Amino acid sequence: MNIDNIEQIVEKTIKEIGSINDVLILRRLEIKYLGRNGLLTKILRNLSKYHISIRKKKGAIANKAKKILSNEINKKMAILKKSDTISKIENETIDCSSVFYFPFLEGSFHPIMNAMYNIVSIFQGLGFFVADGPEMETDWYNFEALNIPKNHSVRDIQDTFYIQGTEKLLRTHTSPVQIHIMENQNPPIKVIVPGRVYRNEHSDSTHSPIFHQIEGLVVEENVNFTDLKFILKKFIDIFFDKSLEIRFRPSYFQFTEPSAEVDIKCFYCNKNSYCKICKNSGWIEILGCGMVHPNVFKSVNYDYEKYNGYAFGIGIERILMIKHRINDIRLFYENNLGFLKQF
Amino acid sequence: MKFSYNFFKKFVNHNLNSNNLSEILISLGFEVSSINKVERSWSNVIVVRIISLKKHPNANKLLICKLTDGNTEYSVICGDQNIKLGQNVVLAKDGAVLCNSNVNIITIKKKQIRGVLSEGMICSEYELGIKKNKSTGVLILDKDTKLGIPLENIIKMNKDYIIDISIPTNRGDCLSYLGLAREIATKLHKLVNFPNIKSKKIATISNIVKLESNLCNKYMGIIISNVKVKPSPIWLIDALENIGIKSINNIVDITNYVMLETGQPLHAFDMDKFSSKEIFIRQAKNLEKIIAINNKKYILSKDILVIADIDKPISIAGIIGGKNSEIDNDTRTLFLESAIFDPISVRNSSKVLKIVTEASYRFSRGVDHKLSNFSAWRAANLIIEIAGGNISKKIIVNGLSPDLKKNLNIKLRFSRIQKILGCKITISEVFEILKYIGIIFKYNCEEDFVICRVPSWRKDINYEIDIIEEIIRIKGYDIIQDLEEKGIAISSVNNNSNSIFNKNNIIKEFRVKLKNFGFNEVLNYSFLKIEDLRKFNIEYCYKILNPVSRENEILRPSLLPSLYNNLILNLDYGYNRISLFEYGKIFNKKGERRYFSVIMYGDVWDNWWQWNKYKFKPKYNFFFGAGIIKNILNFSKDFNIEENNNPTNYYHPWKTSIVKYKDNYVGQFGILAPYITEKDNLKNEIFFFEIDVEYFFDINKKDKIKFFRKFSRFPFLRRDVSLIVDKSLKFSDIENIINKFMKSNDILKKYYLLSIFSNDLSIGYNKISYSIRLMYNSNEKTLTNYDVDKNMNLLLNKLKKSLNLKLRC
Repeated sequence: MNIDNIEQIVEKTIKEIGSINDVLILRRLEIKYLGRNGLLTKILRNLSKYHISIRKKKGAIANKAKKILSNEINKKMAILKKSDTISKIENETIDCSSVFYFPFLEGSFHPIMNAMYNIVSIFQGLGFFVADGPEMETDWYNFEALNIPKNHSVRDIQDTFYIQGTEKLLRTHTSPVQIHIMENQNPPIKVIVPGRVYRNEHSDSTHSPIFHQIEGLVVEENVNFTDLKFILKKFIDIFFDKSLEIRFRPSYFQFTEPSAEVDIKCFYCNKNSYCKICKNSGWIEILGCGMVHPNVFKSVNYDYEKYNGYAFGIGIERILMIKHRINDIRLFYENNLGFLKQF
Repeated sequence: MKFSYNFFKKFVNHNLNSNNLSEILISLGFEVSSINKVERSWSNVIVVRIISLKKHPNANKLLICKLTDGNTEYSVICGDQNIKLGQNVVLAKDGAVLCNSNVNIITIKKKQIRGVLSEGMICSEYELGIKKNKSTGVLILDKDTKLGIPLENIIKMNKDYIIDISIPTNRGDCLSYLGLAREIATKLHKLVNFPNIKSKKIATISNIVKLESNLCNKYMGIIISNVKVKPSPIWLIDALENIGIKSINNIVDITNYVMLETGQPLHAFDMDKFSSKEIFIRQAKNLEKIIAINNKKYILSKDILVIADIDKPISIAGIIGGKNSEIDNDTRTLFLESAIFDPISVRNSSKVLKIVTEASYRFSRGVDHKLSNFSAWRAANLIIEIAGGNISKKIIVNGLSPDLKKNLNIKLRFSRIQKILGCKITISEVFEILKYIGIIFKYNCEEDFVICRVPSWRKDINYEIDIIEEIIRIKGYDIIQDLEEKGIAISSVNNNSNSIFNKNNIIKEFRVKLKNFGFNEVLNYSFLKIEDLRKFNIEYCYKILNPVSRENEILRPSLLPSLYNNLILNLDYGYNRISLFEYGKIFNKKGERRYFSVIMYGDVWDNWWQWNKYKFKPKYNFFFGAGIIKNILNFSKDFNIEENNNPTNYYHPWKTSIVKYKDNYVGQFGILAPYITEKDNLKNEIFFFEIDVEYFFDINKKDKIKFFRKFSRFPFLRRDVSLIVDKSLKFSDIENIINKFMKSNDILKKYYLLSIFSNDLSIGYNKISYSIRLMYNSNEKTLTNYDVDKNMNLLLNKLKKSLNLKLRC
């Protein structure tokens, strides 16, 4: 290569660059001319042999040529690299429909535990605190103190499990916790007690020897039936997430008087067919409640003239069966993953 | 309890239909569980006479009957051998539609029966829907019944509604038409009508009854002679059978019927069967026996009250009569009993003898003593009307009457009504309600209270609060508003109760973590069968005295058996990843304890094709399980996992550890012993974890407020080292040294165990290699290789000094 025909070379090389379509070939070309031992690099290195005046002139020409080539190569390189990434991306096709669920995060809480947490938090929001109590109880806490004397016929209904060799029984309701709480502190009390209760009966689609209740107790000088109605209406509205028509119907419980059962207007009824949920009555029983009986206050040495109180009990399974349309209470305790994973 | 809609009309005048009536009952606190229409279908059913009878040529037990309705003759095959020539019977002709007592609808058609044509069916009372009992024979009508007329002209077609009503246990007074009619009348502001008594209550007094116990408060008897026992008239059968009481004969049916009317249980004895003139009301002798009218033998004890003749009991008082004095078709003289027995005694006897009858149910809930005479006379009247006979004597014995209501005066304060109910009810409204309930009252104007005297039948009203309840029950709860809370808004009590539902409770943390790891929460019964424990070699501590089912034999001493069963159940359904947890009470030597347990089996992750790409398909084993447990326990430094030197039987002897909380044993975990899993042919290991929550239930995460700590703004540098040690050495020996070292320097922040490797050829006999990754960074500067190497060598020297180890390159 000669310095004198450098311009033709440049011209020819530019043409060559134009025809290159591959980054590697371009890179090779760059090395051929501009690399450490490249042709133009050599020319520039050899300029030192010449006299200063020639060196200046020829040097300028060679430098210009180098600049032109380097520019052209960089320009072309940018274009080629860009299309290279594009073609790489082009080749990265996948079938996004094969994603499938990440197989790890499908745990569940038991619907009863979930409901108890929900209900408790509703009542916590209404100013209640939570308490717990034993499941093995004495006759006093489960019956006597709650105004259910021995030989009372109500004891026939609450068939009780007795424990061999002890004086204990399995509580038939969460109400004994009322007594524990009142024995340990003075009013005002505003407490909610979730827990497991036991009834000695055969299980079928609506009965279970074990079920869960939430008990509420409020004691203070100035509470009365209006407070009870207010709290329960609020609870039902929040739990069912809609404002439901409710009905207070007189009922009988030993430890409250007056007592009531609360029904909600059946929201499953369909005029065309028999409603299994409310048995066509139009109402669904939700819970029992009432004003604390003076005899209960007497058992814990509260002044029943001074204090008033109300109490209520909610059956968790029952309320869940209504909410989720579960038709057999035994499903809660079978622990089949097919059931559990739905909640 | 079932009631007939039609009968209510006799006791209170009303125009309500069955639905409106049940609405009223519900509003008064009587739940109505069903209303069923009773209607008979008797089209093409007529009266005919049997004019000839002969044997069926091809069947021994069948008869060919020639019948006439006066004009036409029919030939019908009949299976009842008791029919006789000349009897008037009921024929369901071809095309007749019958509804039997089980509400099965049958259409009668002409058909060949064993080669002979039968043009219809001769009907029994069951087939006609009159009686519930299937074994009733053909209905025989009076000889003078007109032939050919439809049956419904003779037997009134009684359209009725049967209403099933739950009577609260304290309202024994409502276990009768009269009782419920009083309630309806109160709501409608009407008065009740009592049943009629035509003949006068006059009879000579006899004293054949001797009272020898204080468990009888009142005893009345009427002796009726010359009665004729026969089947009851249809209306009486209907009155009983429609509500589920079997019709026996006219006498027994009348006693039952009057009981339904007034609530007073009555009993009729065949007096000619008494072995003595006198009868005694006494307590039974121990082991005394009686065969009751239900043909069962009862062995009595001295707490049980009986009616007896001179040598034997003839009835268990208030519960059931004896077979030996039962009314039968030959009974001529009867002794009608109307008594008030002690409710508690009847209740206890009925429980001991395991027998509940209509009578015992009513007695144990309290019977109105003021109605017992009336009821006896009402029954006597009906007997004479229906079964003939005449009243010969009456007996009245009064007991000690400990339970009869004294003239109880209850003070009702108007201020109290307002205080309990939170709404105002006017004085005149209160007066009106009191009046209809039957309370006699006197108003004290100055102090604004009334003195109330409660009627004899309301044994449930004893306190002021009971009357307040009555007032709101009659008024209805709708008058109480529900718009605001007037009492306390927030409990002033310390909120430190230890419930899992408290905001920061630790069990909630466990549950949330496990759910996020893909675990499913279960809830099991607190009961087990003794047999369930055998497999695990666990002993129970509490046995149920009176389980109704074997499933409820004992209280669970561990959560394991039921969790294990849950696992097997779901495995049988084909799930291959089963990881469950449960929180609940167990009952062991320490008493009632809150426990938390986890069980894991099978795949750690569900199937996923990406796992294959990385050849990653782990099954739960000790290390996966223990890793998860470490994870859920890491909220507190007080938990330590240690070697299990004394594992419970059901664990694998080596693959198990214990959990300590503040140096107390609180739980253990590990792989279940192979002898358990082999029985169920399980291919993989089961990991089980159990922890006694009582020990740390009160740790509240809230108590430990986390303070912000400065963290490093410089990058990590890492070093991997492989340590070769004797196999007998535990990894925890290495770990303890590293942990100690970490406390004394400030740039080794973290380490990982990368791999465990042993190979006699490459690292030597009985040696094991642990690869550990050490992570360094500083809070002050970017670390140099020099800093890190220097620190690492310090650590390695420490390790070398205390353990016999080699570095692997």
